[in-house]
Amino acid sequence: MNPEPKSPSLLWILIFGRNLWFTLVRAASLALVAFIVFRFILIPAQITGGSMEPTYHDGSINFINQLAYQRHEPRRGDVVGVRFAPRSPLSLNSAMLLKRIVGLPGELIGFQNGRVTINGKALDEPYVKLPSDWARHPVQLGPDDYFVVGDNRSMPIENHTFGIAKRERIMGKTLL
Amino acid sequence: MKILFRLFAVIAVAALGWWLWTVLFPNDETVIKKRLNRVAALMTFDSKEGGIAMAANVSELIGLFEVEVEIEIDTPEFQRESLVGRDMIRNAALAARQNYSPLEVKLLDQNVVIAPEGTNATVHLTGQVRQPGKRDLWVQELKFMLRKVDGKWLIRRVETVRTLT
Repeated sequence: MNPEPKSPSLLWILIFGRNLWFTLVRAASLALVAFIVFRFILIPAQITGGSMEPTYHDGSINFINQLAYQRHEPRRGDVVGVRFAPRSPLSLNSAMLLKRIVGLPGELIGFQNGRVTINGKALDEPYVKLPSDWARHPVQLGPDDYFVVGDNRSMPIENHTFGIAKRERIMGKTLL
Repeated sequence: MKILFRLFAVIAVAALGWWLWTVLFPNDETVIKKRLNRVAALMTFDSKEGGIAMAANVSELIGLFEVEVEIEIDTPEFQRESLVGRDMIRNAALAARQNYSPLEVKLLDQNVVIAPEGTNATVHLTGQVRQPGKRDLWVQELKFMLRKVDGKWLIRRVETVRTLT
């Protein structure tokens, strides 16, 4: 008489499932989907610095949606990721700027009393909560240029990284 | 099952062989990236670094640059900083160790383009400098230009690329 095969223990079933092969296939599929999503669609980002306060806090987590501009171009008010050097999808560590678009191609952008002016007119900016006295002469944007700046205008203007970003450098829009 | 096992074994051996080939005979792009990672490692230091180690690390660091190297980068404190020659780099590296201990340097997203003749290369990358536990001191896009001298890739010029103009 052949001995009956032993059924797997409860612990084995909890860890590996009833069929190890199916479990491995499911795990590999999940890993592949996660790799595709977080490498090519949603870039996880940890925010460092205070240039986007109080909208985004130093140390908070967000995602950059790289598919946000598949159907339309970046819009005024969008908070976007602006890349430095071209990013490799396989790179485990990258850096980018997180800024808000305030100027669109072709516009004349300046600063007066801490507020953005577009073609000489002040822009309504409800996201700027902290007092500011920034002033800067207007600059003309080219057909491929977007003007980006952080929401924290209370820091000295010379300590804040802002300016004209080419369209190709805009990676995507924040998800949260 | 046996056939599947043999197929996996062949693939594993092929992968191992390919990996060994890339380790023993790396291409120029791999060599350049390795040297740039070594630059970042040598520019990284902590308070435990002793005098002898510091001297050795700085000496190795400047050996990765050409004698008449030119560096023009934007810094938070001094706007555009220009360094010419290995001596100035040595002095800057020693001054950084006195003023900013510890310091962590990374050179991320290295995009290497090698000229057709094979002796010049350009690398666009993102430089990140921070003190552990504190906010980023400095993040910038940089352009490195390298030249192959006596079989070794040496850095001949480094300049800032303005991400936002």
